[in-house]
Amino acid sequence: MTFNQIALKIFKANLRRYLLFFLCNSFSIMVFFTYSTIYTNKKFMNPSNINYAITGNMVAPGVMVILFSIFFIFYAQGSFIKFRKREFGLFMVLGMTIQDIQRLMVIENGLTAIFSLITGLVSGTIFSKLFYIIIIKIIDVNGIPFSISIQSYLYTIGFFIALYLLVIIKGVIESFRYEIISLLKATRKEDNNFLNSPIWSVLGIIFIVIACFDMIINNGVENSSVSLRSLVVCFVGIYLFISNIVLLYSKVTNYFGYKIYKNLLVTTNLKYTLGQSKKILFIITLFVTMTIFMSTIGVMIISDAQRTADAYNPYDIAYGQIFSKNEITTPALYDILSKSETPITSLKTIEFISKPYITILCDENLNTNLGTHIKVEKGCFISLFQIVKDDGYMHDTTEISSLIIPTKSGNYTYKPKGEITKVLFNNIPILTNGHYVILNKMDYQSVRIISNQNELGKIKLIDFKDWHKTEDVSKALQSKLETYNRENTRQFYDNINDDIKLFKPTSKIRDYLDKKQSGSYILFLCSFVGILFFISSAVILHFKLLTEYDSEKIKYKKIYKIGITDNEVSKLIIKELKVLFFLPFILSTFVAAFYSYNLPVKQGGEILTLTYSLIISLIYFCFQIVLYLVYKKIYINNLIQDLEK
Amino acid sequence: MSVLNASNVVKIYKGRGKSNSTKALNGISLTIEHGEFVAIMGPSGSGKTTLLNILSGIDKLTSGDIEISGQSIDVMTKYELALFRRQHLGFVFQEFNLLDSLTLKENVMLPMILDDKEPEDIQSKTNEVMEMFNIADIMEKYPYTVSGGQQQRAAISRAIINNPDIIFADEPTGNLDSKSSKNVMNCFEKLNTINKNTILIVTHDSFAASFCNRVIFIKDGLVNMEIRKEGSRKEFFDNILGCLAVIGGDKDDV
Repeated sequence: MTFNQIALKIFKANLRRYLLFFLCNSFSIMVFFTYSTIYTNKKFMNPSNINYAITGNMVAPGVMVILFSIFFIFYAQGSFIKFRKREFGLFMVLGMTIQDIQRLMVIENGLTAIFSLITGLVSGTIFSKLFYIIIIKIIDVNGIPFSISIQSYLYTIGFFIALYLLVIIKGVIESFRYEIISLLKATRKEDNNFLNSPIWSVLGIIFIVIACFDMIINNGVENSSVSLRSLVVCFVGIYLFISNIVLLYSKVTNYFGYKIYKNLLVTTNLKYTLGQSKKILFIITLFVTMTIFMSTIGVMIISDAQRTADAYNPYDIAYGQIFSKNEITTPALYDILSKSETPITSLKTIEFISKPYITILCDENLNTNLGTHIKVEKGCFISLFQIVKDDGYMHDTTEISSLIIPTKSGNYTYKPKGEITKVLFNNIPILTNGHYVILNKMDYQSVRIISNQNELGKIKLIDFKDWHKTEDVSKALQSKLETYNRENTRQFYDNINDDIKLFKPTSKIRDYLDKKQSGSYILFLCSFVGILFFISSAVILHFKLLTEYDSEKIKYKKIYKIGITDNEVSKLIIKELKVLFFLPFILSTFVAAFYSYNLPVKQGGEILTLTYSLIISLIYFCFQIVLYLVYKKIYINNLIQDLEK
Repeated sequence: MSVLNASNVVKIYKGRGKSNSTKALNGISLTIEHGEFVAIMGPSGSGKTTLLNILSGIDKLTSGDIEISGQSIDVMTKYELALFRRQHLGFVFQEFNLLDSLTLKENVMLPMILDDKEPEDIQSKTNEVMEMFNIADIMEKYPYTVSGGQQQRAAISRAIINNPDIIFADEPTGNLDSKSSKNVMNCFEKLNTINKNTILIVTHDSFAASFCNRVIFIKDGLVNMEIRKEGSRKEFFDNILGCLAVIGGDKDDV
């Protein structure tokens, strides 16, 4: 037998014990890989194929998966080493040098890395196909083939190898400080906590309060970075708070003085558990909160889809005729519209003049066609902002101070005379970048005369009886217009996709479906990441209890000899397990509820988001309860059986 | 010829705060000659285990000097100490400290493997020592499947496999019943009389100590007295009990 054979044998024996950790490693690699196959799918990520509102939703869950992988692999290695320290101490007593131990670490970590990568990539290759089928179903697009690019392998391998290298370097650096005597006692030692002081816990509470106030006072649609800032501060506070929860707990129990003697075992047990599981409690809190919060956003987008689609699309279908695009004849238009499932109720046309960044409308034209009562004085203009205020989105409402129209005899300047904030007609893509101004009929005519023919355009506004049934007709119209433009007009932008995107018709149904799909997509991703967190947190908890199982057994054996009934043992354990299983969830529920309540939504929508957040928490909680009940039963049965042996 | 020479060994455990440090060893000096079989005894908290850990280089001393086979171990680097330990020292622990993932045989040969010895030498030497302690027939078994006495004999085999200059044993009978204790102490005696190994044990157990030929009693971090074996083991045992009564160990220690 050689050193390497011995090392391999020890590794194999340990691997059995760490199988769950190993599987979780593989699982995070699999998830990461699945994500990267989608990220590197050029067709999928192309905004002209799939709305950026949908693909953009991948970022947050993706970041969560990356953060989680980093934490999890470091945590797994830390526990691995902590458990091995006694063994290392023994090796050193027998004359192993630090260099030998480092060699052992590199071999073990290297093997874990390689095996996890292999299983993760193999399962990822299989799984990503399934994942892809599901998301394509959710966002309802066709014609984007599934593909696994070589980059997704490279990114995954690169990321995880870098991560494992860091882990190995960390282990090697730490090993230089190994002292035999402390290694031999390591498993019995508490984690050292450099933040162990009441000052830190007070600071933690201050941080949490600051974060809450920051959110309440500063958060708004125009300040979207506030929630992130506040979340970060809040979690720093929670970390400080949890690291010192033992101190706080002691303070509370001390306050009751001798009265706690009655529950001495419970209080000391809890104190020990809290002290030993700070990191775990914090991390589970962090990830569960993020899952709940993100899922809430998903649900909110879905439930909001109809409202926003309604608000921004007063007409069921709209398209603009400008730069000679989309100029199909009225009979051709009716030909398509008449084939719709639901009868057409109205077709309106408004005129506009398109100047750089400015779209000029005529008051009388609007009044006759849209039934408005707008009156603009001669020589003046009214700004029109086609937005809904306080709907939870950011809007640019800077007024233009004066409107200057160059004429042959010099510039003519119009004066501002108020503004209108209302969605009068659908915002069509080609005009969204400019300001709308409304002019008096006379002024409009005079501008019209001096304008280039190309600058004169029309917006067609079509209404149907039931807009829910307009998906087919809007698709038909879109393809008709696309064909027309391709055959009869020159390309306006360099990229044909941009051309199509900017001149295509808008519709209420498309807006609605996009929002709904975007919400479903984010919800799916969050559920998926949530499952990863759920399983991993179960593994972390399981592993933690497993590493302490022997010392728990010894402890209860001692008490068992003094005289404790099985029932009392299980009662004690249940209290401890409850803290581990539920404390992070309770914290997460509160934090997620707070942030959901303060999400920038339309006025009066806060209670709804709060409800969503609570419902999602409840669903998560139900899973956790099932896990807890099953785990509790197995754990207690095992322990009691071992005690009786 | 002395194998181990300790002079003025002081160990202070530093706690939090200035007034919180504990003086575990108060300037102990002792010498162990080649071929001696010595026990260190003393009441709880007298510093027995600390002394053993320091003499064997497992723990660091605060001041003083320790020489083993003429080499000063307190000035060695970690690396030198590791090599020194595997070539010159053997260890036996109260809780055996065998690796559960390896068979008894693999556990025994581990120090030789670490020292990169030839496979044939490893094989023959392992068989030799395991036969000497009557555990050759269970050499392929795993530690958790055999009795405590058998585990401890495997641990002793491991301690002597590299022909150490001195064997340190910390409460080798502490986790064993009286029959196994006797068995294990017979092994030590055998090593000492037949192989001429130098052995230093720390123990509570007067019966175990009576196998030795010298017993050093320490109290409050200092050598309190020492007695040598003259006559039979029974007489020596009575002698040890007498000494313990004098230095005021607890009844438990007797």
